[in-house]
Amino acid sequence: MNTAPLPGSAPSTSHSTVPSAPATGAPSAPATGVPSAPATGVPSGPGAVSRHLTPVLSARHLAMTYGQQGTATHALDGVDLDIARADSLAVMGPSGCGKTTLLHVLAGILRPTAGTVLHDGTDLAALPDRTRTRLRRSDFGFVFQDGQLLPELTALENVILPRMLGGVTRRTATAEARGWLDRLGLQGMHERRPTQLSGGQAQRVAITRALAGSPSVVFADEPTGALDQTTGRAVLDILVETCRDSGAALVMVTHDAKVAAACRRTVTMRDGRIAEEFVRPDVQPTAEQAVAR
Amino acid sequence: MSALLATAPLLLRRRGALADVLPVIAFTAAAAITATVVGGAAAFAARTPSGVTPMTGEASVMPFLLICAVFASALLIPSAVGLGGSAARLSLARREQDLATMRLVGGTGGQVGSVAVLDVAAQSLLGSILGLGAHLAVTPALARLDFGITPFTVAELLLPWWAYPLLVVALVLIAAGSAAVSLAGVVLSPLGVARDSRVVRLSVLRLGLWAALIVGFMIFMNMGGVLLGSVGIVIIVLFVAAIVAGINVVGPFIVWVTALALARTAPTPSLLVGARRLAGDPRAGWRAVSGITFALVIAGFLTMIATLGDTSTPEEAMMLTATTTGGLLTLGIAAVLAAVSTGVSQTARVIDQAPRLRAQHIAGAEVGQLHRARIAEIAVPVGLSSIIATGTALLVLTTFFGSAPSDPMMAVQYLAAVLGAYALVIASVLVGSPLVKRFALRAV
Repeated sequence: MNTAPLPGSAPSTSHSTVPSAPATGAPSAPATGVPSAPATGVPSGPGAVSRHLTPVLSARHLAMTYGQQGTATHALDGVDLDIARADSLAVMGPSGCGKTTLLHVLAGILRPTAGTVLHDGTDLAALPDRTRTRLRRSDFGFVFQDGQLLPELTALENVILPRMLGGVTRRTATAEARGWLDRLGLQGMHERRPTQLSGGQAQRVAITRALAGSPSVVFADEPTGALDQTTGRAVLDILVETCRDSGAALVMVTHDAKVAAACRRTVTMRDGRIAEEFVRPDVQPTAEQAVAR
Repeated sequence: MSALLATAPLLLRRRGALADVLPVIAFTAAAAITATVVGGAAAFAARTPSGVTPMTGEASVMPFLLICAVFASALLIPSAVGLGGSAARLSLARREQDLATMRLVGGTGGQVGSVAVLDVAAQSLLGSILGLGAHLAVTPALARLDFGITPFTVAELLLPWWAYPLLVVALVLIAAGSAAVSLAGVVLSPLGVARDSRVVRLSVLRLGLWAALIVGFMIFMNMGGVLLGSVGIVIIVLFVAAIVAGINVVGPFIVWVTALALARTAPTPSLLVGARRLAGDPRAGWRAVSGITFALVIAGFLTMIATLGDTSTPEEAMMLTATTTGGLLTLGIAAVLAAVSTGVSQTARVIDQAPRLRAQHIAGAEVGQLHRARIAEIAVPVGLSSIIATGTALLVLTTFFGSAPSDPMMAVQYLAAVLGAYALVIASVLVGSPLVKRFALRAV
């Protein structure tokens, strides 16, 4: 799988394979096709944002080394990557290939050993921890494999919590969150606890929480890993669709090629480098299309 | 079974020092406090004349002091033993994953349960022995306390030698029993431990019952109940005892209602999280401060009686000194119990929540905000406890004496005791703070 022709990811639509630029650290163009990404096929919807060419996240020559010399492990070894608003990117690869490390470095959770991650022109690696934490709160959203909802809080409170942490008043955050929860099909479940929700509903709450602050980028780590296939598919469609409609870029780590196929772009990592990239020019299926498929 | 027991040490692997030390600390405190309190009560009993009580001298006040000592023991020992029980459940909770693994590799529910109970018993044995060491170490200091009577010797405050093995066996059995009862409430399956999670509801009857007792007491006093002689005194004592005991019934309800109200309106995220956690388990929130509330009610009684007391005779002076020292000692022990209990349970909670703390930090929660939520969770019961304790003491005494005693110095002393006790409890919550930071910032 790691050598990827990505058999399971081949959608019914034709796709172009963009071979990765060798990750040698040369100041070449990044391994991604964002600037050349066709602007076609962008569905319109409430709040849809057209893709623009300036990437919201731009990584250059990323390297991440764990351990000392001799026993050092190169989790990232010269990664170049761009992602634009409203675009979706799946990061695939075998265990230990560096995909989760890449997600954490892009999100400013980890500082890279070398290289830069520009978010709207600011280098995340140069920011102190507290500033990066605030940036994650205000500009990024996160969806984890098991939701990581606080079990004592209601669904609504789980959604407003990050907003309140960011200084938004409870009243404002609640008004926003109710709209988001309804939009994601959670009407009548606002006051339920996570234990009173199904796995799919809880994950939709987690997606709402990630999107309620109108982030510029949503990071998802195996977001459907704990769900059955049907529920996982539905949750995935909601995630991709709502990110696209709200103009947020989606960066999703997955080991499942079918899950990755929901994203417009897929990069496959191997040994800390981007080995291959797939771009699906006309993918960004609507929910109906995805279900039919 | 023998094969399972042979592999148990491998499966019940130690999970890092702190997680395993916490139950042992709790067992140590439980054993030390139980031995010290029983030893103290026994010392008062040994000094009490067995025959006719003389009218004057130290022997004349001993029966009263023995009643006080027994009362203090009745207050503290259940809490100390309860701490042992909580420690057993805590130890078991820390092993859930290991127990599931043992089921997965072929252990039956009974076999795995036995190994788990044995594990708890081993921890409680270690804690009990350490606790007896602490008891022996602290007794010389207690012998120097001034009870107004001839000072106790160390030998008087220690239990007879045979009592110690009995105490250890009793604590180990209680811990093992508590673990066994907890196991009955969970389903050990190879895929993990299933536990029924319910939304807590407490009945308003708790408040109604307590209010009825207070109203009954006030009516009884206003109707001249004191004039009924010894029957009247017995009824008053029963009323006061019921009101004080009722604090533990009404406490969780008041915590629950307050936490729900705060959660619905909390303007800050820390208060929202703290109040919701409290509303999810109001009994645990109250348990952290129940011992201290009792002790504060008693200390309140003693402080206020001391302001009214007229020590015209040496016997009265003795009683006053003994009750004041005893009251403060009871409060001190209750505060230590509350601090250990809160510190252990809160730190265990931090360890359990490690992945969620990490996730919250990733999603933008600053470490300071995570700390504040934990403080809010304990600050609410602490605040309510101080109001309930002071209010109960004031209410009972005002009803009894007809007016509130006023002595600024005593009030200041009482306030200092209240603040000191609660500071200890809040400090015990902070013990887990470095762990919060470590888990939140841990490299993935």
